Amino acid sequence: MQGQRRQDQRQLTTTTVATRAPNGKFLGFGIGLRPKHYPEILDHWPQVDWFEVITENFLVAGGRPRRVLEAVRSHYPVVLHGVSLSIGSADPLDDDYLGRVRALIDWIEPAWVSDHLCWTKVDGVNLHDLLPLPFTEETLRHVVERVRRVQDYLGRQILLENVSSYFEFAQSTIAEGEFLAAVAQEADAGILLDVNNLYVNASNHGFDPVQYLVALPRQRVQQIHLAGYADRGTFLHDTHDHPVWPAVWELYRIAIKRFGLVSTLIEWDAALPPLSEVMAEAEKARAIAWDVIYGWRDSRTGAAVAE
Amino acid sequence: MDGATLERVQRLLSKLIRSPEGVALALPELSLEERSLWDGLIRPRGTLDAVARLDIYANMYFFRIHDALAEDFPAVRATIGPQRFHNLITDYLLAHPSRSFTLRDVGACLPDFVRSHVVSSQWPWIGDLALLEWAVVEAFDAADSPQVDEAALAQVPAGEWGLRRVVWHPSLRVLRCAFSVHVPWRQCQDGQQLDEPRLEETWLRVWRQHERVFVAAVPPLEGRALGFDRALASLAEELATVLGEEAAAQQLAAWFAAWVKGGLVCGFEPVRCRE
Repeated sequence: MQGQRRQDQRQLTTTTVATRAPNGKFLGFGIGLRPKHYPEILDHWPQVDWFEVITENFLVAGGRPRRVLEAVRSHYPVVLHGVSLSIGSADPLDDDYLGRVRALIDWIEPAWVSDHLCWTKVDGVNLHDLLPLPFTEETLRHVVERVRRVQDYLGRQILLENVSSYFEFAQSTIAEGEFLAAVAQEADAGILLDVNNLYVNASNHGFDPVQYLVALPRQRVQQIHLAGYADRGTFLHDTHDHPVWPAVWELYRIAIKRFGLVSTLIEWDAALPPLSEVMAEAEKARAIAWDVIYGWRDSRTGAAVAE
Repeated sequence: MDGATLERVQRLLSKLIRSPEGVALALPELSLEERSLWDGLIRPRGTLDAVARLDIYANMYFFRIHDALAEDFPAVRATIGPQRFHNLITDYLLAHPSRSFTLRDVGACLPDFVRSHVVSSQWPWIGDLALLEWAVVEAFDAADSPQVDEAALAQVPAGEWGLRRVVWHPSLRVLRCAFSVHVPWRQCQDGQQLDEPRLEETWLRVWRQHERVFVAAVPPLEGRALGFDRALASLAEELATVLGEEAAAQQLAAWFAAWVKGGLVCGFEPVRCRE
């Protein structure tokens, strides 16, 4: 197991840049679908590469949410991003929830499905938050077994996202990046790398984010999240209410060097600006990726350009 | 950390995060076993101790749910004020922690809960108001079903009306309230100051048409007829005892025309006798 975990830990000193998407599914640079933007999207069908939707918001019987999703899906690729799988919980997997997710998948045919490497509930009580796990061999076995069962039930691979966290368990014996890599490798799952969460955790817990990237197997990273955090003075808070900070863009640049072209998404949930501002953040991501992969820059300003 | 320990740890963290007075004040209430689990559980680092770190989650837990409920119950919040609403939600979450995978369901028990809460002694209509606001939430994303138009009325053979039952739109909710709470509800929707509702029996119908949720006060007689799920012959009989046969027939015809136009009706299906 240790060997597996270490097999992809090469240093980022090479000048070789991966140029292809690791799994052939490159959707481009998307944004999260949020109700405040529904009218503009439905009226103008703006040029957005793809949308990510919060799975639970559409596990409803009917009405406007499902109608909007159906319309958006008819114009764009859509990815389902869940927050309630609770893959690391001590509770049994929720069959009712999984059944609803499967029905949504059958209906909307998303490009892929993701959730978080965390726990959200115990004893049936949902905290509606993404809580960290102790990174131990026992937890690893627990999570891997559950990911396999979820994938069997859904009939497809899922992606798991690294969550932001504000504490670490003293009993953890495995570095977070290695734990995520091991779950993905051993359960044959994909990775949704949240670069903002990585930056937040590296700051909150004092580790090297680049070493974390090195620990992740290239071929497993299928999607990247970018978002803005809030600096609370004593810790960084993953609030999704700011533009992406410069340090996170820098880390994104390193991630693209490491993983090649990976479908990238801007998450913005609170203090949501007009759609055009969120789209502009996605264009920034495109420009950086294009610069890293192809070296495309504006001949006058030297700034990275999208196309 | 084996499976049993993982479960105990998650239970402990859930208990501390949900503690209404914050993590520090909850610690002395822990059992010896819980206390020994807690000690050394969280890795110390920097200026934030374990309590402060877990309090970040405790605050997020409360305010995430509080904000979701404030969105679902704006008129309740406007009536009792933000501070009392804060306290109401604190008490509510102690009695009814979320057991759903979605925040959408978190307010399902609030209408019943608020009726027995101290705020209802000062605002006795608050339970009715919460009931109305929850009906609006339910109608918003209730199942879809094609609504029939006026032509459907004509398609039912004259002799078969009595053996049919109405298929109501799944979003339809019929509320019997002791107060006219639709008045302050509407004022809240319009951003106006809220008046006290009158103490009078009020029947409300809540339903969705063209993706919009509507609320309308209806006469008690119509309120009782809405949602009627037996053969229309029974409805006509019951109505005739109040209005007389001829007037009952006219009233039913008028109601059906209005209900169909309003998008409340999805069909008129034959009543099947149970064996």
